[in-house]
Amino acid sequence: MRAGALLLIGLAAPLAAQAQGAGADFDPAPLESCLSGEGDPASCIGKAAENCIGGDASVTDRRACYDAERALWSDRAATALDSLRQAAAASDAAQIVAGKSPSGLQGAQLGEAEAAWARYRDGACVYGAALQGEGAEAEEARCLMRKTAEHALELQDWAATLSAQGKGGTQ
Amino acid sequence: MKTLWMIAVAALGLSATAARAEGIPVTYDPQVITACLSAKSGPARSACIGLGAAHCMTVDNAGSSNAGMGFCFGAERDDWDNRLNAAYQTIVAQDGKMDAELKELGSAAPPQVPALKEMQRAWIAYRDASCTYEMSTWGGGSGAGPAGSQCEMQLTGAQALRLIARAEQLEGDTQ
Repeated sequence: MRAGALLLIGLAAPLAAQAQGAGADFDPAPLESCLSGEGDPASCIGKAAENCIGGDASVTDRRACYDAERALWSDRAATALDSLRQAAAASDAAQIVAGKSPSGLQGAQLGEAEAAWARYRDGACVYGAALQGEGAEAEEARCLMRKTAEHALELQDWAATLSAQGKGGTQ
Repeated sequence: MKTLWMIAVAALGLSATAARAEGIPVTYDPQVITACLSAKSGPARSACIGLGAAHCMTVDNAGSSNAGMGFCFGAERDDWDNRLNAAYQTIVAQDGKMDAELKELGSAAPPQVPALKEMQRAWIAYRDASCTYEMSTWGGGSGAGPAGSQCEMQLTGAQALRLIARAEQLEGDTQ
């Protein structure tokens, strides 16, 4: 069950390493302090990357900064996804024990939603980047970071709702 | 209840969409979202999502039942869907013009309109899969229907705002 989350972390770690290797001055603090504040978490997206990019940066450095922030959001997405997978497994087991129809089981629906999200992310970033000409690589990295962040917040919302309502494991 | 509604719709010979717009059993005012969108710009507009349904629920006590809440969420989802489609048409027209110009110039750049269409198709599949998952977390309880409509409203609203921002940017470029 943790395989998916570990896979995500596994993908994220080399990105962060790559960003640091590129010499980018990346500090997660601007993002983390924004997220610990009271405001809309969506307004925090990009804070660490913007700080890393500063006034002017090459396409390579901008891309490295976006990739480094994307790795932070991927970790958050993986944590939320792990808790949703656990809730889905508990709920599905209870449904099966109760002899209910296995159609529409949460674990399968969650897997389909994740796959559909990945296709949407790729489609959205291909559309956005092709417009950019020479900055296309940095623009694609910015888009992937933003989509990953939006999705991490969405997964965190779902996980918070599930645990607040005690849904998932008991029905 | 839903079955009766469908039979009534079929008997009147109306499409489900037309019936939803004309025969909706709640009072929904699209002006609530329109006013919010004119008062806000940029990412702050995401606070507009849900206001139309919230207002709808205060009229005639619609928010006091699951069915009323579901209809209010559904009405705001349809409102965002209309705004999304209008923005999408603007983008298709503008991107289509740019694709034609670049082709004329012999550019090797990939055309935008097919990428836009692919993105939007993928978004629809993502919205449907996400909201099916969201409904599955209600375990078949009575909250599943309104929760599904609320999920569709939120995701459709977010995508409408992305496309509106893009359409406004493109319209600004050509002025």
